[in-house]
Amino acid sequence: MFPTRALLGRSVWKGPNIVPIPLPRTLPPPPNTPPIRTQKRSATILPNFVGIRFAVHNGKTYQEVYITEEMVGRKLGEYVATRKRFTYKQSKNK
Amino acid sequence: MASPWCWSCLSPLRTPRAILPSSTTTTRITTAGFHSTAVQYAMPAKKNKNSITQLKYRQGQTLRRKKKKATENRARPPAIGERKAMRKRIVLSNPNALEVEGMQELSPETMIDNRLRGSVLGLPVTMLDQLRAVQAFKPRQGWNIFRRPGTVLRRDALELGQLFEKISGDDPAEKGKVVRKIITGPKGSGKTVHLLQAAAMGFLKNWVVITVPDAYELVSGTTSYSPIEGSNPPQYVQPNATSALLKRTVEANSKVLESLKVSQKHAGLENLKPTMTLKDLAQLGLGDAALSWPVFQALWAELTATSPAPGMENGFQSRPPTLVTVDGLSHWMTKTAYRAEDYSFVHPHDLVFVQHFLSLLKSDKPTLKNGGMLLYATSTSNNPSSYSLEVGLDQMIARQDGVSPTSPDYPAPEAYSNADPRVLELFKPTAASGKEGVLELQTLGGLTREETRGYLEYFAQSGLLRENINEKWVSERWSLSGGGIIGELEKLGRHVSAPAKLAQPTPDVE
Amino acid sequence: MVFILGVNFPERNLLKKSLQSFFGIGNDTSSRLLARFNIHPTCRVGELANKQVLDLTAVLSEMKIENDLRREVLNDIKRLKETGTYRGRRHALGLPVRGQRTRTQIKTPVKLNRMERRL
Repeated sequence: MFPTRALLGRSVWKGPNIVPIPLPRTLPPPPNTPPIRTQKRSATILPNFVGIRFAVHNGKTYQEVYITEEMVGRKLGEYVATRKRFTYKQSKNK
Repeated sequence: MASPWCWSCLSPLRTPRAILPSSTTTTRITTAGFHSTAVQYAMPAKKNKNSITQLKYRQGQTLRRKKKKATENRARPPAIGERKAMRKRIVLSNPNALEVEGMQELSPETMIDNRLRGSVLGLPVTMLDQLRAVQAFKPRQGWNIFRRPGTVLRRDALELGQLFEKISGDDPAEKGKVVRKIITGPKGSGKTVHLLQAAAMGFLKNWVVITVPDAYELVSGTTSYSPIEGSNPPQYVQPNATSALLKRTVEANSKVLESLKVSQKHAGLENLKPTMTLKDLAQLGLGDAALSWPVFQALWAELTATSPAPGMENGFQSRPPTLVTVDGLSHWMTKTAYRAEDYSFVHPHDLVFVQHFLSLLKSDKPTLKNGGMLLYATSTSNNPSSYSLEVGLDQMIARQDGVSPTSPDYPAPEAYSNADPRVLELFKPTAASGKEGVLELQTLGGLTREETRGYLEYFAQSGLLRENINEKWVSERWSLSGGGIIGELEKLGRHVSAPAKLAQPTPDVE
Repeated sequence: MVFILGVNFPERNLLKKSLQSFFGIGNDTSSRLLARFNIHPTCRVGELANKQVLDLTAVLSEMKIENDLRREVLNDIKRLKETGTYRGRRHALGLPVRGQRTRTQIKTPVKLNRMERRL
């Protein structure tokens, strides 16, 4: 029995997906520190990430994410959408 | 040039529409010969723009009808329990059936009379209420097609009668014996009616008859259950089922129980007086379901008592033998629908009611001290499969055939079959001690041809059959019924068919 | 009529079904509750003893059911929305949340997933 299928993403024995990320020396980082550019969307947000700004790749550009306490345990990619909302554009040249 | 006539049916062929001048000038040809195609194509119906059949863009072309409004049923639904009562009602008499002349009744004399073998004996009318009380009749046993209920005195019934005669007879070697039997047999072979005959004989001999008419009711989770405090593993009483058992027993055996006085001391029953009869004792458990199990235990202790407790001697009468019947045994060999507190299924042998009746099957210690009979029948109409029971019954057959339990031919449960050890334990051989007979297996089969003839003659005498009953016809029915299976014979017998010679002769055409 | 956790149930109703009328109690939970108090599965509400009613009410009042459960679920969804996760966004847009296809058949999320979700 599974409490919910949503928890079946990853085996518990593997632990969180810890990815080496160049964290700033001092935590919390001083203001005006540039955000950490990364493409590792599947990296689990660890408690020591709180207060850091990341620039996460969305497939095209890097978008900034400010990590708060509530985001711990989730993935970086969850906060950066990879798809654009579809909007109909009027094309002039038929 | 093509001929204007069709050469196969000699009708004038229609000229194609394209050649015709215009539709307004030509008259429509209404005679349809063998060819109708041209007529249909000649004048295609004009589309009426105002009609609702006009199809819109991408509209489905299926036929759309208005849905019929469901007629509201304003009649009141039948009251609670009414439909079940209709389903379970038992009709024992059919005034349209003929009275069978010279039909004998079941009595202490006729039930052991070998000369009557194969004839149908009527159940005494005065006993019907008792038999109804112990729920010995079941619906769909065909009681409602005859003038009065009766049963065939077949070989097994005669043997049963002789056992009753012996146990309540005067022979000191046989008196007070305990006979234990498990009754099996194919569908329709008369297992339940065998129990009914036993109950009837028990009433005739003034025994105490205790029945469990449907073992399923105790394990299906339809009556309340509660654990006995302090029991480990937990045991459960079923107060309402026990109360119903007491009610059956009191109603059916009131005459016997009234004549017996309380002779033992029972802890836990405060308002019990030594002057009470056993009927009064049993009725204590009817009103208060919580008391029913202690009352049943007390009643059982009284029925199996051989001598009074000190200080309660006045008016002690020796107890009569007891008949215990259970129908649908295999339900007690699988799991129940009850759940324990940890949500596991309760094993049927943890229900004290069931355990009490199953423990009687063991012959190593005295159970029915005043003698009696235990008849536990399996059922084939509502029959859960229990592998362990099958193995147990196979083992009993092997023992009766003389196979030693240590020999390799002795049936054993297959490896990895998960046979229930508690069920297998029940069928382990136990030595007979004193007058306690060992557990036997009795397999009911079909009637013999002579018995079949007697049975079918009863149908004929009741006006259900019009055939000439002769040797050939009986043996044909006997074969058709799978070798005299009585349930099948009943189906054949009640199927009224007029023979050909009785059919209306057709009047001659002049 | 029998009061269980402040709700009035007719006596002829099945107890198991009556318990399932609470938000947060389904087939499994209700049959486990029955097993815990040794009540047979086909018990009617009227057959309950007074003590059993009190026991059931006591257990039910400690369970997270009805409004407490509703509030918890709504809060969880709200948190997802506020932190800006993908799942929260899907909830707000009225689209399926757990990776189902959206080409056809998304009636249920369209109906349920709203900005102001109700249960």
